Amino acid sequence: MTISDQTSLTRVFYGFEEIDFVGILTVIAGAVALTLLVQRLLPRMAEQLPSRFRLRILPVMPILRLAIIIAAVIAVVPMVIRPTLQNFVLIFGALGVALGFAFKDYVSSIIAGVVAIYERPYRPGDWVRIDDVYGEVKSLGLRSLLVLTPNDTYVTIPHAKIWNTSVHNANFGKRDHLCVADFYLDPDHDAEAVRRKLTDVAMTSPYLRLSRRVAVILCERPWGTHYQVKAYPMDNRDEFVFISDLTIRGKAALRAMNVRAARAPMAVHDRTV
Amino acid sequence: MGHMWRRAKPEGAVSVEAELQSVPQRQLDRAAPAPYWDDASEALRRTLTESIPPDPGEPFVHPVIGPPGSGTRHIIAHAAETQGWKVFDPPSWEEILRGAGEWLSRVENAEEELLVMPCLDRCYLRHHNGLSAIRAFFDTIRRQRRRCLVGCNSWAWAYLRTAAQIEGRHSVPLTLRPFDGANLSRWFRDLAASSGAYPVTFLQSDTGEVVLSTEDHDERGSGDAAHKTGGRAQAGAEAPAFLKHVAGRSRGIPLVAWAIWRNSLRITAKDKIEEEAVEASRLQEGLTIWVRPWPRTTLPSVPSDLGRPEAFVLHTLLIHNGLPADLLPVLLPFAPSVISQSLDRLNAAGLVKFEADLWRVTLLGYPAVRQYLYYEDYLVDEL
Repeated sequence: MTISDQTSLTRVFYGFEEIDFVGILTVIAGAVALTLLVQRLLPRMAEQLPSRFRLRILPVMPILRLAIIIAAVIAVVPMVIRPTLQNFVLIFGALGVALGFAFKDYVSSIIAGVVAIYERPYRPGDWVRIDDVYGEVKSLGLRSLLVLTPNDTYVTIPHAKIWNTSVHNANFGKRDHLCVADFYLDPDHDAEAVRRKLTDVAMTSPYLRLSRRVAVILCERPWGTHYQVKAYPMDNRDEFVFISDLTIRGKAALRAMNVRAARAPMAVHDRTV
Repeated sequence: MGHMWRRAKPEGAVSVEAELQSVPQRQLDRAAPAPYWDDASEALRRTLTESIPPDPGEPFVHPVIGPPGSGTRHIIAHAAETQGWKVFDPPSWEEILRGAGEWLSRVENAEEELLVMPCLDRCYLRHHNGLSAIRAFFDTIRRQRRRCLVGCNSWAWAYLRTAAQIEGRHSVPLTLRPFDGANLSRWFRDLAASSGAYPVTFLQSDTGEVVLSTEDHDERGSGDAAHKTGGRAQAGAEAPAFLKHVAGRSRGIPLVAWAIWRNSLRITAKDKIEEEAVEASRLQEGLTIWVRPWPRTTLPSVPSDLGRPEAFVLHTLLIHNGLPADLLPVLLPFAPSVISQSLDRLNAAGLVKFEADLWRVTLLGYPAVRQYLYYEDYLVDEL
């Protein structure tokens, strides 16, 4: 390294003996501790507080984490670099080029994560479908989100997916989550009576959010009549128990009405063969 | 003049706190006896005379709504008894689950012009077969152009408005006005005076201040005259701070406030009267009852780790105004053993109790239960 190189470097960076390593380590340790605290405390707080506050608290988590990281970078950079505009442009330009080549996908995911915090295609507590994965968003990391599927499997999905994949969000930050219970019935029945009965099945489910409307829709299929009971549970985490409850009690009610289930379509055999 | 005079703060009022004990049942029933509904039912009768048109016409159903502990059912039953109105018993649980055909035929065959159903909350179940009876009841009343006075628990009413589609098929519901601190002060004093055994003075245990005294009641005159004239004279009077807290915590519901009031009463060991003979000697000197200060009043609270079964049980009990244990597994998606366990847990927390063959939310636990269900986003009443 030539003397002129050393001089230009010292114009950008502080000398080794000038850097406050203890201060830098303190800031980094503080940021890590705060991030861990946010990660541990907020989900726990969300579980402890009444349900109606859960989906208001969880989305704050990624925003707080991003704020902590930005604050830590803002605090550390001037400890290492002489704080002039020229130096910042030089350093961040060089860093951008280096990361662009070396960690293209990683940086893409981080930027997508920042965009996700701003655009909110998903938030912790939302029920989303991304590609073939369906489940509840448990947390948003810097690079990826963690989804818990109904089979109790955690799936890590990079934020970069939002650049080229549709994100299906069932509740979009709210507690309302439409659930659908299907019934396939033999077509020979009083459809109006069945529709009224299935409405009562939904209206009397203890999981039902009574402030939202219940809808029962039906359509004829070649093999019978397909009914769909559409209703909202009080808590979006109850999706599967709610559908199960509707199905169990719906079947009991239909059996009491002597309405039979549809038969599976029979294969038609050509007897002439 | 009674309210202008105050007892001097008894010396050692604070020190007495350490030796306070619960009040024996006999004395508790004298100091804070069970309420009587004569005045309330008379007020309801007067209101109904003004609000229900003499000739049948839509709407045919005239509801009176009250939260648990409002005494609405007793008030309506009492008013009906004094007026000679025909009161209908609700259908049995089995009839409701079958569609309540026989019960409806009793309603259809009644000849009276005004029918009274004091407990509409007992005419349905939150079950897919449990709503048809109440819908058929409303249809029958309308088809026969009958006037019908119905009493209903406010929780059941909130549920039925949505689930049984009865909205718009009734007149504007009547409800008992919530009691504030001044109302409670008059009411508790009248109740204590109504037992008539001996003068009772209620003192706050930490300050020795008079909370209530039946002597104030006696000085103003007793009975109806006192209730009418004294009540108005006292309307602007400042209620004791303790009773304001009771009114706020109980949401102004009379029996909830009464239960909190009874729960806060204490007595010293020397004032404890167990025997009838000793009680007779008390007639002249009167009795001092100590009231625990509000911050030290303990009421049941909802455990922080309550699960879904317990929450469903509480909500189901409230919207049905109490249920027998064997019906809960029919209405809820849990095994009988899970429901029994939940009931035991809630019972241990003082939130529910088994009374007259039904599990109910306790009067003392009601404020905490309502608050819990509200924050958990369950359907709650509007009162």
